[in-house]
Amino acid sequence: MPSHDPSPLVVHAPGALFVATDELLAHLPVLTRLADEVEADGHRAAWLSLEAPSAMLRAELDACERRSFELADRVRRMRTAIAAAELAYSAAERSATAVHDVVSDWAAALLLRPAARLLLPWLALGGLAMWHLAPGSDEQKRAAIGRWMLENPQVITSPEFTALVGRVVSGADDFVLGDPLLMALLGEHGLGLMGAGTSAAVLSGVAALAGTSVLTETPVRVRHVASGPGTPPSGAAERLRRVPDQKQVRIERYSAPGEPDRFIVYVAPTQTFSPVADAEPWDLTSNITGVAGLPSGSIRATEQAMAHAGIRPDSQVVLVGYSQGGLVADAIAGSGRWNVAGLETYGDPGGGVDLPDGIRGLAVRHSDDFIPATGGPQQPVDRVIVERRAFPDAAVIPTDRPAPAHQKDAYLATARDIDGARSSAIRDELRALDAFARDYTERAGGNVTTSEYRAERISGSS
Amino acid sequence: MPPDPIQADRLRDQLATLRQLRHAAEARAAHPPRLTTDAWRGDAHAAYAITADELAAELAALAAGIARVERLTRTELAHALA
Repeated sequence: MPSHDPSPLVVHAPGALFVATDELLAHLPVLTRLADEVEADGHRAAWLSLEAPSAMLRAELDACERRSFELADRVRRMRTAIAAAELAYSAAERSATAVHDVVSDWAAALLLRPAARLLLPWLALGGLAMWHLAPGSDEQKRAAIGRWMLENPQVITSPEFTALVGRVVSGADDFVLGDPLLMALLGEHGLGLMGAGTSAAVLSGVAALAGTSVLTETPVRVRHVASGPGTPPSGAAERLRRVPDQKQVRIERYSAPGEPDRFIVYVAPTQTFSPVADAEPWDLTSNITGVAGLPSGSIRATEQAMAHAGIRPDSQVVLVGYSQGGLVADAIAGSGRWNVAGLETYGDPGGGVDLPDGIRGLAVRHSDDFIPATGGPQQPVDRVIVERRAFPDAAVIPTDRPAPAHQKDAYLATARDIDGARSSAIRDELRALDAFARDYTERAGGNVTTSEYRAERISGSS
Repeated sequence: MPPDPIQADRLRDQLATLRQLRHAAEARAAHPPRLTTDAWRGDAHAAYAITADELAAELAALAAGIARVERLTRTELAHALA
């Protein structure tokens, strides 16, 4: 658990004119209520003044009435001023980001590409030579790089690194495209026809053509490994806790007499970062295929598990996922093949997935976790996006695990704060997600059955 | 002047209302609407803090005004009962 002061939760509510912290959003109705109360008391003072037995008392009551109305006005102006200040900040932030994006696209095309043509071969040769000249076996060198990354987590744990990853990912195919005009027209910051998805698709395609098992998709099969009674989750932290660490899919069936069954599907994070597609479908291959918008092994396996659990296309389902599990959840919601009533994801690279209108829920990400940035820029969604920095400037970043801001315990700390959030934007989503399960279990005869599924890739030899 | 029971009843009712108003006003003055620095993404915190301080003073002044009216009403009630 982080030992530092948490950074504020920043809320991107669908349809809202500005992005603001949970505290500030929760403050706006407080001011509205204060203004209304003070004004109502002014009216009561006015009534009392009508019946005041002396001129002196009447004058004092009139003064209270006047002051109350002035105060109510002032509080309402404060509320408007806060909204205006945040609106101006959000607009300035958007403009600055847009200008920065376009400028960096053009700079990449005009300056970096020609330079890269010249330098990349030499850099690659230099890197290869350094790798071979460095002492130790390949395994030892890989371990040394891993150790260095662990000992220097600040390198990859910052909003700046996340932004850099986002630019590299979304600019990769722009870079190949080369022409500044084409980049501006077709890139993420133009028509959006090229971007993280196309980069990932090209990578997957090239890997498939190479004929090896590196980053190459395979069929998958799913086994039902456990089942038993369950209880409904309450709150974001509990739902995230239920996301399996190893058995990749957990499905809760909610039944109530006379009602169609409802389901909550929890999807696990990446199990291996090996580029070789062996038995594990929750692997790097699925990450890349999923970001490409293609049916990855983990997406197909989860859909197989859903079908096995009795989820029909019209069954109401809430999807919860962390990391690759979030990407899987986004992809399934985006497929339009399922009746998704809610979607809750943590630290997932699924921001680039197009979701149908009306899918509510939460998308939680850390601004210093670069994994979500690998999915490309966030598409417009009807979900509430909650963002915060897992390790603010003064925080000590753990050195015992890779990518600390992406770890589940960091997201659990954020989920606990989300459960304590006060803004209606977050509270409404939490209420809806909690009610989805509780509505059935609170009825006579309502019950929950939990099933767990394990999936594996079917390679040519198996 | 003889005691005026009707006026005394009216003043008692007014006093009860004023007591409620004062309690509510004092509660508001004790908890003015402040925000922490972290609540802001932009740089409006300092300006808002000044405005909130001013508002707190005005809420306290309103509570004091209501307390003054309450005292005056109590005096009027004493006269009505005398």
